[in-house]
Amino acid sequence: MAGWRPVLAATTGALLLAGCSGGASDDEPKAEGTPKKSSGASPAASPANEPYTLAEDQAPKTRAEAVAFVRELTVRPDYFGTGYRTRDPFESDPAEWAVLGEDCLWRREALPGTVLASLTRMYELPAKDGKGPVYVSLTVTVHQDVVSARRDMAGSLEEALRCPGQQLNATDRVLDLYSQVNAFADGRSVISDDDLTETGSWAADGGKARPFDWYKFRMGPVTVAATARHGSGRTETEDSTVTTDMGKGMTFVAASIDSKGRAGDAAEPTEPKEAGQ
Amino acid sequence: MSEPLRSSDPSRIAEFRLLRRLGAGGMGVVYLGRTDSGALAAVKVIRGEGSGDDDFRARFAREVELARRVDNPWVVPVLDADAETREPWLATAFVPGPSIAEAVAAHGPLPSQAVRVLGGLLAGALDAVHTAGLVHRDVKPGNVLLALDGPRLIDFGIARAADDTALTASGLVVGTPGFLAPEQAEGQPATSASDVFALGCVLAYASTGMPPFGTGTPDALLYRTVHDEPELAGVEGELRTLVERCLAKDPSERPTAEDIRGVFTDDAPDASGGWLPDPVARMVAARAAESLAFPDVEPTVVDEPADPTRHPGRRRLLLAGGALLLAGGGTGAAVWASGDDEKPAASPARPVYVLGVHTTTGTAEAAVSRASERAARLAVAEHNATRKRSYDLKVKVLADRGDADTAREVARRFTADRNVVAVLGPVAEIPMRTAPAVYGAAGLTHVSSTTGQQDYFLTSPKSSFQSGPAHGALGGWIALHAYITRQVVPAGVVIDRAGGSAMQDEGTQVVSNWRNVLKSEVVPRVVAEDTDDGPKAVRDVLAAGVKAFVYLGALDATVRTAQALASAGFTGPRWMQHQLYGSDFPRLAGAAGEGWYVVTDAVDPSVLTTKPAKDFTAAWLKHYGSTPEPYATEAYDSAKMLLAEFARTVPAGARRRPVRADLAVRLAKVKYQGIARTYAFGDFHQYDNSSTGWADETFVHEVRGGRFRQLGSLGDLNRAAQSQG
Repeated sequence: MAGWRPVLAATTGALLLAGCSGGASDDEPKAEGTPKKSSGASPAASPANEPYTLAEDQAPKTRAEAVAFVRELTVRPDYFGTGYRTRDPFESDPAEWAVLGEDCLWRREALPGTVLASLTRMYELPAKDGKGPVYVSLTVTVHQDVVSARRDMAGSLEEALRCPGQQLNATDRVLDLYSQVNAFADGRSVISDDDLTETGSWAADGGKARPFDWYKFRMGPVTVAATARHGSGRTETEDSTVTTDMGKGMTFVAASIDSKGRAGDAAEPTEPKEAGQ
Repeated sequence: MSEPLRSSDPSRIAEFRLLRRLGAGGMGVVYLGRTDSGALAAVKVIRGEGSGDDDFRARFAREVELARRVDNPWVVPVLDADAETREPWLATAFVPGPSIAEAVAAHGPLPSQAVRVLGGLLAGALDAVHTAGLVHRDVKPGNVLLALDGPRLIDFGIARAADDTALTASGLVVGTPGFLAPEQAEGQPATSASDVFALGCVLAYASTGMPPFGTGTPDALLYRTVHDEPELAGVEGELRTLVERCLAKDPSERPTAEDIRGVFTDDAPDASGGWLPDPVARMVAARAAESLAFPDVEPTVVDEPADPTRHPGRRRLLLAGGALLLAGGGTGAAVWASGDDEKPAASPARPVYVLGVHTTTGTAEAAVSRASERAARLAVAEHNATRKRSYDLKVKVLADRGDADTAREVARRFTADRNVVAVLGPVAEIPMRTAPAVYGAAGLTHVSSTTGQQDYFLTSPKSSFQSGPAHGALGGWIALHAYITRQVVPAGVVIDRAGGSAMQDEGTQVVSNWRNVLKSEVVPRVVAEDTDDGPKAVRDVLAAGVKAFVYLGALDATVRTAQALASAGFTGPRWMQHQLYGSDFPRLAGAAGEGWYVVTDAVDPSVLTTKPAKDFTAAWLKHYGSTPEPYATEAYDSAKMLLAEFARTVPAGARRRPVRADLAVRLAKVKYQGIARTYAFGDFHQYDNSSTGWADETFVHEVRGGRFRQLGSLGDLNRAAQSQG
């Protein structure tokens, strides 16, 4: 799914009023006419006929069930590519989640009544051969129902509009976020009920800006989100691979959740859908 | 609707001072005139060789004499006439109201009660015409004007006395296909029963918005009129029974006009317009108000040089006026005498190529689908009217259901037909995401004029083109409109996901431009789909103290927002998403909708003063009885552009078939001058608006007086603002 979407953003960007798009990226949309972040799969592959989803009646109903659900999910480091490992600390407190304040600062807060559990796992690709580290986070959140999850997706879209620059923590800042969300019903190459993609850049303590990705899927009442903070020293193609690999990792998790719902128990995904790649 | 007098026009005819040109048809020119006492009149001046012909004069005089005997409130009265002058003329009372065709095009079918009123009064009008010894012969939605107190039957231009068979003796038939009776279609004389048939068609059209024998080429319409049963789904009850009787193939089985009057005994309406739906009544009132504003004397304009292709033989002109002439002994092969419509397949030597039109069924896309089909038909008719053409063109329309599977199926059917050389469409976003892969694989070039996302390029980088701007670009232009018109104030922007993914494309750009370019405050809200969170988002944004409002959502949610803002007393500038231009918003929102803006590439050419816009508007009016509807102009431009470039791929001598793929190669490099914009394509085959021209190609419409009114292009508005300092 990661394959084509950046070019859409770029295409739209090419059509904007001069001066409005800022320095969001170094992309020169006109420079090439093919999807820049293609992972090599054919863009002509037709989308799957059904999204990854989780029926509401298969989803956890209580906080305890929800915590068990998110903990039972297997998210191996190599889902995101060769060489990834878990970070320390690895997992967040499932009774908290990150909230973007009016001041555009992310803080961890206790879950609201509409959320049953939220677990963030953290991974890194260590620096190697002159290429800086990549930090990937993956968050699975169980909402109390589908409507709450829809509202959460709308909220994520709104966050990027409200705060195009966001402070992730004491040192890291995200800039120039551009987001788009597509429902499966839109007929785009979407793999879950609703796929959100945000792209921008991040910088630590005034350092050089590097690519930043934030993808989020909704499957019924569950959302799966991942971020990637790219390190230095990668070519554009290599950065594209990082993004694509992050999307693949999310697809494995989405497939796990989907098959959990269908089988009624956890199952290792063996053949994730190829939609959109 | 009207245009200034030309230098060649008289300034006065008898007691009528001429003010403007209302139109020019096959018979001559119709002027708006005013008597010395101030009454407005439509003065038709007969031009051409025939007007000097003694037979013609005698017939004309007789027609006038008979018409003067028609005394019925629902027939436009003859004020004066002169058959003896060099250019005979006829003056009738001027009725400013829209025709049924215009009213239905703008606001959809009429409610059954209004149709009953129409049926009763028009039957009375026809009865009076028939009693006077006349047959109207061209009863159609364009010839019934609406006034607040009832309809008016107009245009005796081709009416002939019932005992005058001069025209029909030669086997010629006059009328409008789709509304003329089977016996007329077969070349027999029209009788009063033929008028009753046409009345049945008009009532069916008013009830359903569609002619009962559909739309299409004249020969197809004639064939269906003679052989097929009418499509009357949606006409119900007593009205249905009556319309069915009117549409009997056998004239003797039809009721008389008097019989019909007896069926509709509803009281005649008062002058309040209460018999019409509100938006139509507003339209009628607005036209009446506009007519009061006609200045007494307007400057004349210099005549355009005569264009020989637009002046076919005078004899034919005399008979034409949008009329269909059938060859007497023919087998239904139809020819438009005025040379402005689709020719029959009467020339076996010429190959026939097909322009496909890929539309979508369903109410949301009905308007763009219809505009695309009509645009294609007009463009094709114009091609087929050129004398030296080396091939004929036909239109083939296939509709998907707005989903991926049927969109691909439509594309497969078009690509499988080797005579299809280009396709206009798809018209909807999902089909434009999915069908291009099929078109691309077959190398069949297509242009979509009504979509704004560029996904097609990934699967079809050669054959697929988009001639409208990206949704996002239009969002940026909302901000520009605010800037030009000095309405840069803190804005609330609500993106309602239920309106589709275009809402985000547009909203994201409104927000970023408002913040980064206008440097003003913006409060964004995103409403989740399938929730009822819209009203709360609107309240929240208002509570934040915004002074401008942008609501990007589906029609019903936008109407609800308009009502909420009106209730809250919010009077700042308000914008809706661009796809609602041409929608029912003005009617549904009522007073709460007044003042809302929409910024779109879709132009209303009827209010432009350039020659291309006027010519196009006139051609459309003649063809369809209404001014071009929203999205018609861009679809027409796209069709004409496709056909113009296709023409350049046709090998000389027409021995070989053109190669499909050649068209896309040409189109990628095209620079095509359309009615109101220049088309060129960017690297993604998207509408290229990277140059500065787009400001003059993007239009602001405001809801005023219950309808969308074009305020001008962004360029116009900018120049106006600059000139005011």
